[in-house]
Amino acid sequence: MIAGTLGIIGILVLAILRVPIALSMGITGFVGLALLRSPNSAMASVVNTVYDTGFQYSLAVIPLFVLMGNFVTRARMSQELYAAAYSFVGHRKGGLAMATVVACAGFGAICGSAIATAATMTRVAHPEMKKYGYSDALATGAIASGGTLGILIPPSSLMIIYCIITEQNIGKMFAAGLLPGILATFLYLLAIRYTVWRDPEAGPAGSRIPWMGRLAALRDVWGVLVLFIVVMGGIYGGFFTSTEAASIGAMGGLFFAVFRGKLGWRDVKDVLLESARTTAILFAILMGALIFSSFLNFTELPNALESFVASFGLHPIMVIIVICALYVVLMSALEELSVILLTVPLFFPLVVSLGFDPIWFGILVVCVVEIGMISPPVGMNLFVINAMIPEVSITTVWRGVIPFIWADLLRLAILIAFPAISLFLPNLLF
Amino acid sequence: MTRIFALLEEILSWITASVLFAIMTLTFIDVATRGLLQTPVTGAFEVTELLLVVLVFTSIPLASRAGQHIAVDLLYSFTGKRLQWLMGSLADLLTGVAILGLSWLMLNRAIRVYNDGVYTAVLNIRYWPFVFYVAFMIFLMGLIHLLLSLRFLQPASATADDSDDKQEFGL
Repeated sequence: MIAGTLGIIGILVLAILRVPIALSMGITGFVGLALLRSPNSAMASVVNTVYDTGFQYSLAVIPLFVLMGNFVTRARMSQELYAAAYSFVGHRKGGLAMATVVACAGFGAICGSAIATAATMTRVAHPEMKKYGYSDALATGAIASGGTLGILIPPSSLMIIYCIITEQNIGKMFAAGLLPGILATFLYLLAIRYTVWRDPEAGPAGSRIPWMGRLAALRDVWGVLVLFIVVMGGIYGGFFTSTEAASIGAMGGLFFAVFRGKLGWRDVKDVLLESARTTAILFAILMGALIFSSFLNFTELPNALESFVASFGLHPIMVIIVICALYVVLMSALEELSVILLTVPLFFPLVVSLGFDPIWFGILVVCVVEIGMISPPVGMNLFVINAMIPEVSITTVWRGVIPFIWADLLRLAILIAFPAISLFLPNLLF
Repeated sequence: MTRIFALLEEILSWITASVLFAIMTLTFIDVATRGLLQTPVTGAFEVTELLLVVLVFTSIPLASRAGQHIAVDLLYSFTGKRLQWLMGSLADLLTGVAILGLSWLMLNRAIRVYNDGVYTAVLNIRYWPFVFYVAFMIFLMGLIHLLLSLRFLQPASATADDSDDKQEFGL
């Protein structure tokens, strides 16, 4: 118990001193193992973890999905998605913001990154909303929060990492994200309705597109549909593994990017390099987390946590609520991925011992990360928007996301209350 | 020193980009031939695994050089320039020493794998060159952090103005 707690404090101290998170976890795990067992066994454990993580075919899924996301972002497939969504809802009050959220959901279906989704949608949707006189708060709030759908709607980089550290099936996890993704989109649309109801000037209606135009716009999103159906359909139809699906998705993304003239050969190298570096960062932090996790297994902390929680006699669902509340607080101050890698090895055994479904807990984890990504002051998507639209002050962006954070909290409550929303599809397909 | 590292960076960039392209293409061809011709590429699984090792461990020093490993800015952003410099140097020093230690352990593992003569099941590819490569790349990463700490290398400039670069965080 004491060793485990000291370990967590050790990581926090190193991290605050700006040692990279991967190293903070790795060093603490190594020192902990050396003290609890022996220096030799700590050295063997560290080398085994690094070796086993590197030489593992199934982890090839990480670079390939990252690559797919980067290629489809460069292919600017977000443009057609936005045009199609706009043609259906653009003429309503707040319609351009709604189109942004719907387009983000569509883009999330071919890209597993919230940051990439927010970034690509900023380029497409912000100029339009600006043209129609949308308030900066609503425009940026819709993009920042819509972007987070990238990690909820499959594919999702965060889900892959969650599955690797908790040894869950990636396909099952992806299936679980679909209905919560639709729920999230719907709640974001409600948040926009609420915002324009409070202040009709915030989101004036755009021009109406006739039905012929709508059908034409819908036809233009075929590329996105094909990619989504082939990649996800392939996994669920049992035609190929998630790694193979990711390679097909990446190849498809490359095809669309080159075919549309958005990508020269020099750019292809840049995208590959960018994806490789992202992969390296993810692997480094994964190795650090695994080293720390093997130390944690030798401490009594996970068991002590279970006994500690049991001593309160709380209803299991209250435990989940406390964990989610703790996550929301932690992520408003710390980087989201690090929080997940640090805490999931600790909370996961507890959640499973309480009889909860690991896939359902994974969806809750994704939802709290989404909240973290748009929570002031350090939400990652807020920084992305701020960097791309520097003329809008960061405090305006903070103000803009507030209705969406409420929508997120409501969604979290619904998903906790009705696990079937997350588990219906995985149970049906697997 | 900077020039040597710039050249090294260029070489490693080409290796890592080519390897990722190869992983994507090989897996794609494997699926396509399995689906269309009922004959998957022999040993594709093994080659992908080995290419993944090269990809990850070639990219790790590149991410170090670009200053992209995830770090917490909580205290850092509230401190003055001089203290930031000190914190950055100490963090790099600690990282460098720890990673050099890891490279030494990995070198020992590589020697053991060489002596054991372990090879893959289908294509009989020897593992040892890859493990030596991993040890060397980890050594390079440690060296980069040490040189950054001692200011023989300049830290990469932040590119926060281009949000696409923020994809480095992977979320």
